[in-house]
Formats: sequence, C-alpha cells, structure tokens
Amino acid sequence: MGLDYQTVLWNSHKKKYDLWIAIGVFLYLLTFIGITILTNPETTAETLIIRAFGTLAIALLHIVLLIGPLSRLNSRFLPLLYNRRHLGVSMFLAALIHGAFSIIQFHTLGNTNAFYALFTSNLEYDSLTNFPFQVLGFFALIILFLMAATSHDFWLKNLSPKIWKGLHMMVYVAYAFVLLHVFLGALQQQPSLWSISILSIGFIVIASLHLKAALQESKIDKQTAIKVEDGWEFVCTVDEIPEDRAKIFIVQKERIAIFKYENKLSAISNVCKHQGGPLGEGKVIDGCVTCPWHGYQYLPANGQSPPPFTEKIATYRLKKIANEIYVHPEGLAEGTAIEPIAL
Amino acid sequence: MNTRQRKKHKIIWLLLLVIVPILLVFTIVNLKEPLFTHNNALGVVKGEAKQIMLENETFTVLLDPKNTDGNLQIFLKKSLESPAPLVYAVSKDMPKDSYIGTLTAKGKYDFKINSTTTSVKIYDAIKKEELLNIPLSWD
Ligand code: HEM
Ligand code: FES
Repeated sequence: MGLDYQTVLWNSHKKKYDLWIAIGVFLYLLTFIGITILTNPETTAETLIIRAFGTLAIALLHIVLLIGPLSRLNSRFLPLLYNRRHLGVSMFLAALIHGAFSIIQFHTLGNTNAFYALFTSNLEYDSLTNFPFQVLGFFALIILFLMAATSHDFWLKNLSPKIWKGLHMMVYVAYAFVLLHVFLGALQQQPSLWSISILSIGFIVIASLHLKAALQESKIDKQTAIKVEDGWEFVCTVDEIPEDRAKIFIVQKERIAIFKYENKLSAISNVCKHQGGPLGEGKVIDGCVTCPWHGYQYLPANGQSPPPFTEKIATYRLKKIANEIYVHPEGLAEGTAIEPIAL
Repeated sequence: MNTRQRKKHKIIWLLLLVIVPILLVFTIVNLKEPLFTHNNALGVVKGEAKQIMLENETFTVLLDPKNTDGNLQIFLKKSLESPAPLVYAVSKDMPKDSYIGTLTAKGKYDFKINSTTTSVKIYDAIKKEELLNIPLSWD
C-alpha cells in the first residue's frame, strides 16, 4: 500500500493537467461537431450544442468517478486524484451549458416561466418510462452546482470536512440521475444499441471498481487486535514498519497510523483533516507525515501541521515491550504532544 | 475517509448496483420505440397511384403503394425545432400507436405502413407535443 509513493512536485504538474483537460475537451467538441456536421448536416446549432455538451458532461463524469477507486486500488493514479477538482468543475460547466441551452430551446418559447415549464410540461411523475427526464437532469445539475461551488478549500473548512464530504458523496446520486436522464430521455427518442451498451458498460465498470475498493477497505476495518495486555493492544513488531512509513491499525473502529522515523515511533490518527486522506499510506518527508492525497503535513509527535498551518489530529500513546509495539486505544485530544518511543 | 464515511460509501454503491440496473432494464424493456420498428405496422397495401396527403412549407407526405422501399414517404423540407420528432402510425385496430421511425434531419424518409393505418402522427417526445396529425385516405 503506497510503497511506491513518490514525492511529486505537484504544483508544477497542476498546470499541465489543466492544459490536458482543456485539450481533451477541445478535441472532443471538435470531433463531435465534425462528425455531426458530416453525417447530419441539417442539425441546428442549438441541438448540436445541447448534444455536444451533454455527452461531454457525461463522459467527464465517468472519468471523475473512476479516479477515486482507481487511486485507492493503485497508487499510480494518485496524481489524477490531486487534480480531480478541476475536472469536476469542467464537467459541471459542460452540464450547465447543456442544461441552459435545453431550457432555452425547449421551454422558453411558450408563455409560461421556463423553470415552471421544465417541471410541468410533462406531468407523468407516476410513470416509470414516461417520467419527466429533464427534471432528473435538473436535479443532477443542482447537485453538480453545489459541488462545484463548494469545491474550494475555503468551503471545505467552512462547512466542516464531514458535511463537505457528505455533500460531495451526492455525486453518486447525481450520476444515477444522469443515467436515468439519458435512458428516459434521449434514448427513448432515438433508441440506440450503441449508447445503451456504452452507458451500461460504463456503469458496470464504475460500480464494480467502487465496490471492489469499498470491500477491500471494509476488510481492513474489520481487523482486530490479536493480543491485548492491560488495555494496550498489540500492533506489530518494530521491524514490520519500514523507515519513514507507517503501519495502519484499527482502534475503537477508527484507523490510526504508527510511523517509524529517525529511530522513533509515533502514532497519529490515519484520517487527514483535509479530505480524509489515508495518512498512514503517506511518507515522512522533512520530518513531517505527508498526506498522499494532496500533501497536507503533520508532525508525528504531536499531530499538528507545522506553522503557519493549524490543522491538528488525534495522537495515540505507544509502548514498546522488547521488539513489540503496543498502542493505547484511547486517543488523546487533537494536537496533544506525546514523547515518541525511541528505538 | 473515516470508518463511517467508508461505510456510507459502501452502502450507497451496493444500493446503486441494485437499483440502477433494475431501472435501466425497465426503461429498455419499455422503450416505446423499440430498437427495431414495430412489425404490426408493416403489411401489404392495395391501391395504385401516388397520392399527396399533405403539402406545406415543411412537409410533403405521400402515399405510394407501389414503392417497394415504403408506401409512405415523408419529405422533410426544412429543419424542425424539435431535434428528433417521432413518427407514429395510428390505426383503429391497434390500441397503441405504432412507432415507425424518427425524423432526424432534412430529407426523404420511406416507411412501410399497414393499409389499416388511418393517420400518421409526428410527435415531439421532449415537449410531449403532437406536431402534426396527417389523416390518410387509401383510395
Ligand atoms: C437543467 C438540466 C438539464 C436539462 C433541462 C436537460 C435536458 C436534456 C434534453 C432536452 C435532452 C435531449 C436532447 C436531444 O435529444 O437533443 C438531454 C439529453 C442529454 N442530457 Fe441533459 N439536461 C439537463 C442536465 C443534464 C446533466 C446534468 C447531464 C450530465 C452530466 C446531462 C446529460 C445529457 C446527455 C448525455 C444527453 C444525451 C445526449 C443528448 O442528446 O444531448 N443532462 N438533456
Ligand atoms: S486529504 Fe487532502 S491532503 Fe490529505
């Protein structure tokens, strides 16, 4: 787990990733518009925009949803995770253009309010196959909007990581809405075996990767101490932890990370204060535990981010008997300094 | 993620893995416009001459029983507002209108319809709105 972790100079890479997103989006739109004009030259500009951006949005949504489980299953994908935010915001913008043009095209011609028309032009809410598919698209767009609007770290702090993460997990619901939006909408008008296959395969791949990662993680969460002495739980022997790395262990149903560095041992919470990244899969760099997701740092001895940062995580007491490491399952208040165990 | 978030993530995906395929299969099974056109809309037609059923700025609709490609021809002369209006054959014998095709762009469309068809409907499925209902006379 994370053993081939590399110190990547993330920031110089960030611009490069953004450039790749822009090039990808541009090429996609160009290809889509080119093929449509060649095969269906009578398509109106509005229809072309609606379709080009609708399909772009769903394609980007697939990529966004793949990055999470892929980087959980293989650390080589971690650099993509680091830049996922901009991909997500691009996806929202594409969906917004699609949604806005659809509303203009289909609902502003009458004399009712366009949003009122969106909800009332089809009232078969009790039907499955005639369900107003645009309403599903609308709710998906609202979820994507809330996510894009709160994507900045300012909101992460303001909302608290717990609420923020809950909000951002709504993307799975948005994905289900979008799938139904397409299956009940576009596909009902122009049934295409091709689109049905692509979207079904996409769903199977995304869902099984997420579940594979989830099941793998819950197996880890179920581990319990093999030996408990006077309330201290046996973790492992000293030589089972590589230098500057950690062993992840479960106490009181939550993960902690026991780091070995500079001939010392310290235990801290495994959960990064930023977005909950797995600190125990990171590495000690310049004396600081460095989160593998976006690089937040913590001092192993007190769980505090080095100044000027103010993040704090819980620390845990350790005990060494001969070559064996024991941890006290009761965590100390976030940022509490504990004298590291000398080796 | 902490343990609770991981659990929530797992439950969401287990639910999606069950619910989404069921809904998708339902929508496919119930596709109003099957991946292939309705068989009961096809049939042999008697009659001779080509007859104009409708002629206006946008459409010319002809009945041409001799044409082997299709006895109903729709010429779409101008792009429509609706991106992909659907064409249905309406018949008293059938409880439900039969979907016979989609008009995707300007051009000529051939359809084979049964001689019991009393009218042809052009329908915008997005707005749920009938654009046109063309009565057919077979003699
Ligand atoms: C207010 C929100 C939305 C409205 C009113 C809306 C409306 C529509 C309409 C009318 C169509 C059929 C267009 C056609 O046949 O040419 C459509 C198709 C589609 N929509 Fe949406 N949509 C919305 C949100 C979304 C979102 C959030 C996504 C994806 C992230 C999305 C993805 C698609 C896709 C992939 C198609 C099929 C391809 C196409 O025909 O464009 N839509 N939408
Ligand atoms: S989760 Fe973002 S830095 Fe740790």
